[in-house]
Amino acid sequence: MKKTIFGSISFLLFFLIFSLSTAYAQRKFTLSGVIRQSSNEKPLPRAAIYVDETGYGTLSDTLGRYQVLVPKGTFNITVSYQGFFTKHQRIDINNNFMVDIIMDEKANDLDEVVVSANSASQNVKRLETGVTNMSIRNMKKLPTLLGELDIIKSLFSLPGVASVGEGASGFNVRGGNIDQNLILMDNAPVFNASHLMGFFSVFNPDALRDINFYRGGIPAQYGGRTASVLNINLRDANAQKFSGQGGIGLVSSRLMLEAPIIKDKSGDSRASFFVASRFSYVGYLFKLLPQQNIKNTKADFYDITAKVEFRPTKKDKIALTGFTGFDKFKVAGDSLANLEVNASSSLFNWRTTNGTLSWVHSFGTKLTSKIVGVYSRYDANIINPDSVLAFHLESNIVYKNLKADFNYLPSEKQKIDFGVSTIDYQIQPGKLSPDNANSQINPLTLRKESALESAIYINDEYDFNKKFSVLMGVRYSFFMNRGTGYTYNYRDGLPKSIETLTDSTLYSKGSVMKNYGGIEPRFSAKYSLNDNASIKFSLNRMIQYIQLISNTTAALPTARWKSADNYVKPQIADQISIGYFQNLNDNKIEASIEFFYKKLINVADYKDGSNLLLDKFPEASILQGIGRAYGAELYVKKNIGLLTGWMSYTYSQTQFLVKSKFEEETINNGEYFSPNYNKPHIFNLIASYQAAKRISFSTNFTFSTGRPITYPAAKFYVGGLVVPYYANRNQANIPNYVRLDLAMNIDADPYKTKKFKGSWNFSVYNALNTRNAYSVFFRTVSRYAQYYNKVDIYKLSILGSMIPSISYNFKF
Amino acid sequence: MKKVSLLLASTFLFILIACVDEFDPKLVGGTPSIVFEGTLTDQAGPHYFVLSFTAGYNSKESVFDKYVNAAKVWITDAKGVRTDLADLNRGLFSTPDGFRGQVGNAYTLHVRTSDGSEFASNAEPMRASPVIDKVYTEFKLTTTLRPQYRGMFNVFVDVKDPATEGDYYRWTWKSYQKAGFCEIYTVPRTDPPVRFLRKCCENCWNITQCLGCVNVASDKLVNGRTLAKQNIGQIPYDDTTPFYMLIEQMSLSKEAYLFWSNVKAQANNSGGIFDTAPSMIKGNIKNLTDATKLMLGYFQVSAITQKAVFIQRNNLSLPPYSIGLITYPFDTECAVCKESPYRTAKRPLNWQD
Repeated sequence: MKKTIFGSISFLLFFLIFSLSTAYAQRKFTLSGVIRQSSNEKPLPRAAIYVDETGYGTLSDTLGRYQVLVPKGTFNITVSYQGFFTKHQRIDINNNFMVDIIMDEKANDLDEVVVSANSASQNVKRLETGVTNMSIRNMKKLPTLLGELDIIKSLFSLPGVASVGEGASGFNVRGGNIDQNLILMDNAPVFNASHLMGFFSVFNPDALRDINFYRGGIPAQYGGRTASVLNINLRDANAQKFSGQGGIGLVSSRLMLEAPIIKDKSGDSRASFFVASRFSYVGYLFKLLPQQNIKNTKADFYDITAKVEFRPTKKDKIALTGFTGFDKFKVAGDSLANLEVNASSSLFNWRTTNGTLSWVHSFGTKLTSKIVGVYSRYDANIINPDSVLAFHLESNIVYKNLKADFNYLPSEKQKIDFGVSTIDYQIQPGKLSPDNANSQINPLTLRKESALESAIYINDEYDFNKKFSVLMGVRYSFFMNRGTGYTYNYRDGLPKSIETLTDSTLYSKGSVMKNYGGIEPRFSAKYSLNDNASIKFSLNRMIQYIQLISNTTAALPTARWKSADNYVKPQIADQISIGYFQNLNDNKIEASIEFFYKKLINVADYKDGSNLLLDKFPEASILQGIGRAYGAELYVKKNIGLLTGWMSYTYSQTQFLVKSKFEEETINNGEYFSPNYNKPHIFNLIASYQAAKRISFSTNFTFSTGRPITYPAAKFYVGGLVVPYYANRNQANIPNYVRLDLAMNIDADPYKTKKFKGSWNFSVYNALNTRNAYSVFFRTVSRYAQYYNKVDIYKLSILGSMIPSISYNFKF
Repeated sequence: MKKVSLLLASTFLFILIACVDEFDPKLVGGTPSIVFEGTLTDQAGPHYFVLSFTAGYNSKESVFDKYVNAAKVWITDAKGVRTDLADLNRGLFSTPDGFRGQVGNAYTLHVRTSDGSEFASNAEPMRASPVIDKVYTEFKLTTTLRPQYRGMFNVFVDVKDPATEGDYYRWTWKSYQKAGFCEIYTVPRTDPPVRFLRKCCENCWNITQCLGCVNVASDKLVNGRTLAKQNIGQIPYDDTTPFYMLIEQMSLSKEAYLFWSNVKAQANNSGGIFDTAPSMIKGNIKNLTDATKLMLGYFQVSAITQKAVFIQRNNLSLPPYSIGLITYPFDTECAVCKESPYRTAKRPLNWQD
């Protein structure tokens, strides 16, 4: 049965490719060439080129090459690239024609502080809904927390993105949990994107080029997560000469160097590299603090990003990317109470090691292939040094992916992407070992999980005419949880627990313990009402086979990844969204409103009080239910002028339902409840004002509903303590969140031609000095509890005061 | 407190700015639920059980305002033997003289309230409790500003865990000190009041209990080996005399362990980033009449192992801070040593003068 489905899908894919590709072919000429930067002749990837008369355009590829089909005639072409002066050129076409376009860099982005990678009219013309592209160049001007530019923090200003609180790792997109975002850095997944337990993200701004963030119409290339795709494109290693950039901040410093390795006869570089690194000195700062208990806190991180590109021919590009990020964090106290060990201190460390090897080849002008091999490993450890209880708890996930993507452009009206991918997962959920001979800890190794996730996809984007275009995509994914391993069997008609365990079934190495598969349709359509307005629609199904198991408010770096098995089913999200897009005032202002509705299947929650660490039977603690999320997102952006910025407002609701015939497997009495990250109202305003040629000011204002909280229904006295009694889940909200950040940037003189350019960023985080609640908690007065009624209820603010910072960035 | 320090540490630099403010979400109580507390042990009784009510989570309502009156409470065991408890009023119930639990048996608590509602607990087994191997201390200097004591002794126990999997423990302790006096006598109609201390007429001990300490452990990671360095309490360095501690170790069922772990977690919740979401503390008592009206609390059944120790406090080079006590001259008459949770005339286990 499975084979037939697979067969018919692949037939369908190829049928789609060839039927649509040949249907509308006409006699046209090819205009092609390379778009380069004037200062160092470096090719500019993803620069936008448009033929004004036909309205069609394209983006240059990673080697700066572009190609558009045009009929015979004279045309105005417009080439734009963020941070560069837009270029207009008039070209006569009566044959296939090649022209290289040289772009002049603006030393400062005088008129574009935050702009999407594409031209403004793309807001209306682009097909997909819920997609944002941001360039790192422009994020650098925004206010920062302690001088650290953080792309994850920039995401929070976009509609539909929320977080459980400051300092929490991850982000929540349109009602999705943090593990439902596929974060890819040059094709390699990042399983934990946080430094310092979640205060900063692992992405070094110097190594990045831009990001594509999909939360609505997710193309079929991407799969495996249900909420969003954050695709992080590293800068191209295509340096023509030695240069570098970096920064010095309060928490960390950065340095990036790039240089050509091999040059051909004409002086163009055939191979280049860059290395970017960042390291923190938080540990030293702790030592300066007077409090003894804080002095012993250790926290440090570093990351290194490197890329080598080799261009053996004009048609081939081979790139090798490496990334490693490491964190260690030592905390005092029995943070591991849930490990059932009373430790006096514990050391957390976690590391991401990623490698990507890719080969891009152009078969003529219409077909490009990309073969990619990815290795990604995430390690998280907890170490307790106490002699009799000394232990080392290791966990890791290893991801190996091989995929082939093809991009076929049969005509200027059509773009087809198709490909195959297969992923091998090896998950070690926990391995506990005593650290010395005195340790009383028993060694314990949980069964390693092994799984294979394969997919085949096709996307066919077709412009029927200037008004109407569609993207039809389909992805078929197939997942196998494989041996060696046991499937535990539980007594029928009883809740799963260690007490109702009957026996187990052993599966030998490589045999299939459980498989899942499914078709994931992806459909988007756009209808332009006129040049300045369009309506877009999209429909998606996403299936997720591995998930993060965590029942803390914010996930710990050591939280466990779990593959779908006999009991833990894959999560499915079906999303429908519709949007109206309008440009105003000659494309100076972009506006949009989008509505979405999402149906969630098999969302995970946990039995009350379950301890997930080192759990041999996680299925007995995991509860799965259904969910729904819906909302409206309003977005207005001003692109041009001395004052630029955007405003977003999101109204949304997310609710889960976990119901079972057993009381202990039911949450909230079997009624809908909100997950921790449900924040109905979120408003963001980002604005930037160029006050003088070297000085700009920027601001960020945020308002959101406080996250849901469970307040005690009552108190009771037991064991000499007055204890809160919680009944229904997440029925109230903590106080609303309001924050204003300010920044001033002083840039290098744009008219000086000095090679070394320095700039300053002065930021004030939380300039209104608001004590925003991170949480509300309840303390029991243990002394004399038997005499007094008093309860203490507190509001905790993590960044409860104004935080000024200064950072210096340079470029040479 | 430990949780708070974790939180502070995890917010590292932001400790300078992380702040905690009082907050009033104006919570009100709904219909009160009945709360049970009590432990049946293998020691000589009587064993006391309390039935109280919940109150709204605010500072106005008290959990001590109302008690369950006129309820019938009884215990049945695995053999079907029923034992009725005596109602001592104000929600207090006691087992009859001579009644004690036996290791290997299982006990069920039954309650019938005056309005006819019936409650019953799950059958709780009484599991054996291994001996306490070792008791030892570590001195910790207090580093906070203007401390009450120069330091504290952390008390640890080591217990040899039996080979069976799934052993759970809870520890409590009591401290006994010879009472210097049994009463402060005020001479009537004196202004300013004239007071005398009255010596005890017989040997008498003041009892300090570790109220609100919930110390539990499981053998999950150390099964069959030594459950080492379990911190069961702190005693103050306020004198150089030995400090007498009577440590009680109770065996628990898995459910009882989860109940107390949950109580401990909720009592210490610091609202930190990595705290688990608050959850309902489920007990083991069910309402047989109306399942929606819960009875909170846990009917605990434990075997007890005791260990009496004298903690030496004279081995430090630093003297303790002296504590100013108000003293009065002694009267010629003596006062009776009245039995109470705070005072006893019964000689503690292994007491040495």
